[in-house]
Amino acid sequence: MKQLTRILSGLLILLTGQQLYAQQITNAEKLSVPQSSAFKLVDISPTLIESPATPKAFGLGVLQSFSGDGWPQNYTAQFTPYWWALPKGRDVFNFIGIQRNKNGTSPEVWKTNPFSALKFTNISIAFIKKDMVPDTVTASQKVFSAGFRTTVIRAYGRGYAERLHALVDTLTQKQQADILELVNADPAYSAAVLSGDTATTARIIRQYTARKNEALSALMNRVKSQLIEKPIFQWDVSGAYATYGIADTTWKTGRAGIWSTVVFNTPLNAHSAGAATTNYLSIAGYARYMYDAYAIEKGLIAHSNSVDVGGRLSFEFDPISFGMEAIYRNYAVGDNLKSQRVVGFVNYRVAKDLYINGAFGNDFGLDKSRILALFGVVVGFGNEKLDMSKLPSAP
Amino acid sequence: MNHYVAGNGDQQIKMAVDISTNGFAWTRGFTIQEDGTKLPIPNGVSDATGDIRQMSLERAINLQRKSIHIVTKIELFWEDITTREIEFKKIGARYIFDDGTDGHKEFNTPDQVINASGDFSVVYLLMTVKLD
Repeated sequence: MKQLTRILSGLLILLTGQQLYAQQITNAEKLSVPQSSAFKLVDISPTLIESPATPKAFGLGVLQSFSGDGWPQNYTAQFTPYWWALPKGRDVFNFIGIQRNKNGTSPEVWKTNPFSALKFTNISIAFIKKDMVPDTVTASQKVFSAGFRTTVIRAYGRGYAERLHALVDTLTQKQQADILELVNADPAYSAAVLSGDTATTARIIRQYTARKNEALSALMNRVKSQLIEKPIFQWDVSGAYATYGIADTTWKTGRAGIWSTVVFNTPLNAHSAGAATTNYLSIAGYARYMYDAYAIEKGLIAHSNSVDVGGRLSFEFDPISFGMEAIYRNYAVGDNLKSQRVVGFVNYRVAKDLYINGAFGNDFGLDKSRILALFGVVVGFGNEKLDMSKLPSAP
Repeated sequence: MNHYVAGNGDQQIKMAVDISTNGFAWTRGFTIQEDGTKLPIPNGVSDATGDIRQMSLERAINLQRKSIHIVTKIELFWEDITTREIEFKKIGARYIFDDGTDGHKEFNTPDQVINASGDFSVVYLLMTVKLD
């Protein structure tokens, strides 16, 4: 098992090496802690129901430092293999899930591919230190968890593809004109090209780019806003497996689970003057099946299965969003383990991709007086939230 | 400098550009004469994929001693700089010439890949092929 530990630690270091570089870029990145399936299986999340956007190439979260015995505490890394794939014929339309159909001389018609987000299947691992065994001993176990998350279906509302089509066509005209302007921006450009003076061409291009074309930047931002518009329907599936280190020598299956979320997003601001949708009412349904090797039956540890069923209602009025999620958990054994989790949450976007969030309410467990009080700064992709701050105490 | 022998016949020389990236890309072709006179190639423009389907440039004899200069602008639009850098390293380009004395010839490496914005959000590919 020590060998396994060494292998897993090596994998974590490998996966996080590039992210550590990225974390030097901005302070905001240092504060980011992504949601991950590997964390969710062991209930380390202020909210369990989410509808993720396009995942980053790497995600990394550190909630606490390494423990005294060298086992990383509450540390997760996410990896999206697609970002490293090199399929032939890759282009932006495949990436954003747009199919372009042209019939004879009729105008090109754009449609969204509802399965296009499958390619962003995300893999996560986590090292956790938490008391996962419901006995009278309060010692924490070393936990290694691995999981995946994928979006099976993502459907956009009527008009989404055509709005994007109009924007991208306009952008293409402007970008083509911009290239023409670039090559004529400096009389020395042609001579540099013909003589192979790469330093001069690079200098001209960098200087031209630094003189920002505000109209072009605004149009590009408008396209980006359109791209992160929420789908009206999204179906996500996740799964994870966790193994517990018992007494430092034995590793046993702790939990395994699979869960699914369906989300309906209703835009609350119409597409007036081509503006991007930023306000939504979101309703989500959530179900999870979980095998738990450490449940309690008549005072003794027993294997059990549990089923979670829940929902989430949230309002998003950029820059603030708030809502509530409620989840009911039913164990096959031990009626006294049936419990609910009811959590209210609020996110406030203080800057582009930088959020302050909070969550409050009752966690799973028998002690219903428990209150989560989580506030932190998080970083998200686009308008999505990656809400995580401090670890709640073990249920 | 990359070379393509077009020959001195009357046949049309053909060109295609294939850009591989998940970002938005726009390509535009130019002819540059020996004295530096530069002209955009009619129809030598791409859509947002950066690709130019095979197109006729001009008669081979009219292309003698001219250079074809191809500029591709790529917008890597992800907020996360790590992702943009990964995408930057994955950018691929093929420049394909046909029907000259050299027959079918492909160039798979641009002359320059320029991280113009410094943060991998705006990238330029430059390619020049001298025709003989």
